Amino acid sequence: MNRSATIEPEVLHKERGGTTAIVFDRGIPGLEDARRWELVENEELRPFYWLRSLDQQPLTLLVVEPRAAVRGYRPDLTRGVYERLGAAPGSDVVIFCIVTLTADGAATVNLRAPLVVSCETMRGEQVILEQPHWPIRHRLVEAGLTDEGTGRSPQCSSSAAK
Amino acid sequence: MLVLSRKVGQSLIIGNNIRVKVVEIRGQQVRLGLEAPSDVTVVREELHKAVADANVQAAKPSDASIASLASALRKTRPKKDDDK
Repeated sequence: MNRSATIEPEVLHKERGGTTAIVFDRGIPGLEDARRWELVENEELRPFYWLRSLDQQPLTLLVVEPRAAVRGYRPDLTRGVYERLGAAPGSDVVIFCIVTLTADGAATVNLRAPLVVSCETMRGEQVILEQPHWPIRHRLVEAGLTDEGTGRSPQCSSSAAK
Repeated sequence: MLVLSRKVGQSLIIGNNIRVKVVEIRGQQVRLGLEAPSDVTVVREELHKAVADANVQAAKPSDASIASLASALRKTRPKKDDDK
């Protein structure tokens, strides 16, 4: 099933009138104690964002819109993912991938386990994909950003994009 | 840990609605079939651990690594992004 509408992260803010808490009911593997997170935008940083824990400060993750890191990224989101998010199958979701920075200046992005956030419910889950070809540590900086991620065009024509 | 013996074709029921079936045994490898409701995620342990390890590492970026990424981005980012 691949009809998920992937939309711009800004929608998370606009449609919620400033309420930006994203709840990961099941926690994020390795960081299970942090359930509520907030997306922090910074124009300079785009297409990167900070995801800041509201439960465990100063826990912060650097995330990126995956289309900025790799072309043709189409994670398979099963019906079960939408059910766990409390959202209708195929409804609007925002997808981020977690970036890992290492001391030697390398940056990798986790394409195997994207963060999927429902715009309807503001619930999120780190979905571990069955598709084995997406690596957990995809080298980001050496490859550079794709053109897709730096443009401003919305990725779908869903209701959220109006 | 509960340890049980099963033959090919036999199953276990966990809770009321999770079924684990031994589908095939070939040498050292066992193929399992799983039926679980959609609120239960099933993932290989080593994959779950690899994701958890990556998450923990990602949660501790050093200032130096952030500065390094920022400078790398400035090099790779197309000019059109600076037009405002």
